[in-house]
Amino acid sequence: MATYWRKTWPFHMLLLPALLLCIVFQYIPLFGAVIAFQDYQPWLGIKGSPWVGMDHFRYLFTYPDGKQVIWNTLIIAAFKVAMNLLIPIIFALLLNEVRKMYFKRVVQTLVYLPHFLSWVILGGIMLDILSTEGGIVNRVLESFGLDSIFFLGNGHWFRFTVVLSDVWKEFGFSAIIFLATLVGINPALYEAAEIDGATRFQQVKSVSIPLIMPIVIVVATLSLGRILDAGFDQILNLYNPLVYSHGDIIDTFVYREGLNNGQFSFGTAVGLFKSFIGFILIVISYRLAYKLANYRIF
Amino acid sequence: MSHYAKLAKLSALSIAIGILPILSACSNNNNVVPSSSPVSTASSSSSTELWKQKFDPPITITTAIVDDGASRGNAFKPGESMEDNVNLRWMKENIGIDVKFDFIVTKSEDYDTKLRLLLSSGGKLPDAFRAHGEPLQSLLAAKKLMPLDEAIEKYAHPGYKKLIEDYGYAMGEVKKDGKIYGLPSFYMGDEGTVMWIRKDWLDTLGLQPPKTLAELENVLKQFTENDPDKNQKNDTVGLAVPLKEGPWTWMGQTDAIFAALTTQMIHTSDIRSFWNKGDDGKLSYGAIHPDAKLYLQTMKDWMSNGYIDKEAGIKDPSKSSELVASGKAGVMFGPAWMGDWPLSDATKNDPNADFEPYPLPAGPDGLVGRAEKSLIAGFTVFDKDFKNIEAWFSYFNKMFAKQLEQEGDPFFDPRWKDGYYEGYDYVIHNDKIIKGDYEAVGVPADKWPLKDGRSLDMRFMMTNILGGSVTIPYSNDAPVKKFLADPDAEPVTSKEFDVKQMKKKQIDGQGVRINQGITEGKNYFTGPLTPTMKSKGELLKKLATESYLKIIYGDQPMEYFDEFVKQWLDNGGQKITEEVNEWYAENQ
Repeated sequence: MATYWRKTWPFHMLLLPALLLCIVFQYIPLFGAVIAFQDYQPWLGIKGSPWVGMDHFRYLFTYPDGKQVIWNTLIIAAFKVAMNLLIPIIFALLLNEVRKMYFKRVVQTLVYLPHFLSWVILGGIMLDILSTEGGIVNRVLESFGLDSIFFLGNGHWFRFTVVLSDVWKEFGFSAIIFLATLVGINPALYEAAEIDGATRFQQVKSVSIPLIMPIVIVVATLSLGRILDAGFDQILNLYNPLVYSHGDIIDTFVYREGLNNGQFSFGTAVGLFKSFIGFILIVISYRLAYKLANYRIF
Repeated sequence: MSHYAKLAKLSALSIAIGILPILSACSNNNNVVPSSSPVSTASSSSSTELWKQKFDPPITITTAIVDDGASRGNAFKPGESMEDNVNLRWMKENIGIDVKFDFIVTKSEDYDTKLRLLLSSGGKLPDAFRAHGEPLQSLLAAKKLMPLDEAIEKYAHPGYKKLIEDYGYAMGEVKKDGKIYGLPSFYMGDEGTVMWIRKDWLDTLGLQPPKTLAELENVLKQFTENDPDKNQKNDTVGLAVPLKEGPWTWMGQTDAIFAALTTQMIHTSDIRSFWNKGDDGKLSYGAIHPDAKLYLQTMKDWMSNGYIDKEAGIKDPSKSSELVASGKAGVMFGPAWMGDWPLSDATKNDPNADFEPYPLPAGPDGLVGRAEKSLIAGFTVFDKDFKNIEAWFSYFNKMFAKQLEQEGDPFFDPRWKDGYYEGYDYVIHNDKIIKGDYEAVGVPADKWPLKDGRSLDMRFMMTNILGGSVTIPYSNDAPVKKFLADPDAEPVTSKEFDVKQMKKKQIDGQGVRINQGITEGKNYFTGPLTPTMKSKGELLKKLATESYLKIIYGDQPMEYFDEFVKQWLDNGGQKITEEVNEWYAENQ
């Protein structure tokens, strides 16, 4: 043991800066979360601000809109988590079957480009293309003899629009990780399957899918932690009073409360609540992944 | 051995590199500027020439400012900046004020964050700076600000004293324990709503400009149904209006409509306005007044008949204005400046598009009105340990006198008679003062303030320690009248130069506003957020805006209004009304 340390201590020293950074910037700020249990006033500081216990958490749940806001968040986020997993996998599997390298690359580049656009810009664009007065989407619907749809002004359609546009924006980017895994599969496996007489479809079913399953589980597990993140900047740029009842989420609610009134403690309390739920979900899904797929991330 | 020494050195180095960001992060926090306020002797030769006041040795005044380099336009010559420009050099040399910026940030959110950090870390505040809203209240509660009553009495320009008296009712945010803690900067007060209508559409359909709400309704109907742009398509609506923030906003607002129906001013997306004064002297919230039903009924009818943009509820003002710019709507309410942006964009689609400003329509009972946009633009506050407020006023009074341009004003600095600095905001060519359009007037290129011939926006370099631009409410009105009477009149005062820079349509719009002579509906609550406003305000805003839209869109019947009022009162509105009236009783 002693010789081990003598030989390796410089390497441990090399680790130290990273460890320090992590402690200073990730762990020490955690103590700031105590303001969730205070009525924090900037000029009094953490030491001087009065303690209020669980008041801020109670406020979130007894607030007349609290339940509605939490429910909206769960619905929108759940659909987003599911679709943002499913669509990229399907897309990756399909793209993987494409033979022409040139076509594959072009498609891949095109579909992940939207990821880099900000919702501030996309919000304005979506208002135009979804407009009931000459927006391209409604023109297409009308040309099929359908009624035009007020996508951003009708609660149910609003949720649909939010989920769909988020999937459209992100699926190309999320697919990268699955594509990379698919490329990494040993070609010998496909060759063996082909010799055994498997069709393309059977190859996908018996080779591709089982081999990307571990990554799918990792991604799914990690994304479950975001079940209370329904996409703040997206909703903020798209929502309006007409769809408050279906589209107002925890983050936009905290934003309005916090920004206008400077309620730091309340904002922190909600953040803590979200992290807490996210943490529980990650632990559960991690255990499930181990049990069902015998897969461990850590 | 040497092998280990090498490794040790290497690891020490890597630690040092790793820690570097931490170290620099720490040193940022120590960036507190020591208060430097040497005892100085002010020398002013005589009381009649107060503008000559100069401080020797120079006094340092620290401040802070938001400077969004990207969108501010041409504020500085190449090589000059917020911290190094002709005005700062001039101030140092001629007034003896050395301006230092404690921090310059690019976004106003960052500015507020900086203030909060200074507050929580106990760092030194800038000597003079702008503050508003929640940070302002925190500063007040923390007792970090200087009471100003004495300084105002002693040093302020008499004209400014009068403004503070006249608009004292709007300064609730900076009043505490009977003292004033902030100096207001004002808006021009020239943003009152006028009615913009496509005159070419009126002519095409043979209509007269509407004088009453009923006539306006007919115009909206004709614009919607009778194809005013003659493109054989049913693709136009009457009114472009943003309703995302409720009835009242900064452009496209509907104050003219509710003011024609009731004396109640209505706003839903801000709990601080409008609080209207009743006959009993008590304040009540406009959006829950029964008269609001008249407004809602009108809007609801117009919406269901298709006279209003169907998507009004999801649009903010800029988005809404795209409808008039693209030639799809013929009427929009809004300030006189709309004559340039966004309405002039309509001519890009249709060269014949001609938006003209018209007086506001009268309601069935002859009511005509509009709501007053708050005249207070912000407050300048001072660190409680600031010793040299006299020097601050010395610069402020100069700027104020320059805006006032009054004969025989002892504060008026004759060195600024023609403008601030030659070669910056004006040039002299053939013995004439030229401000702007240098190329058109024939000024040789080497005399232009900027190489591309455009003018310099002086506000940014003049503001520094003032915390806001110096504006005197309604001081534009006289110059506007002058140019309305004679468009080719020679501008004399700098206000007149400013007005001359406006587009003709904007001056016309201002003329319509001034000539209609409306008493604008005021918001009588100007205090800080009350406790219940803080805890329930957001809920009530959401409730009100949502309910209004649901009624206008027909998702809920008119009867829902009473239900909404009940909910509003039960969810904190009743308590807020009491708090507001308590505040009003103490501060009116």
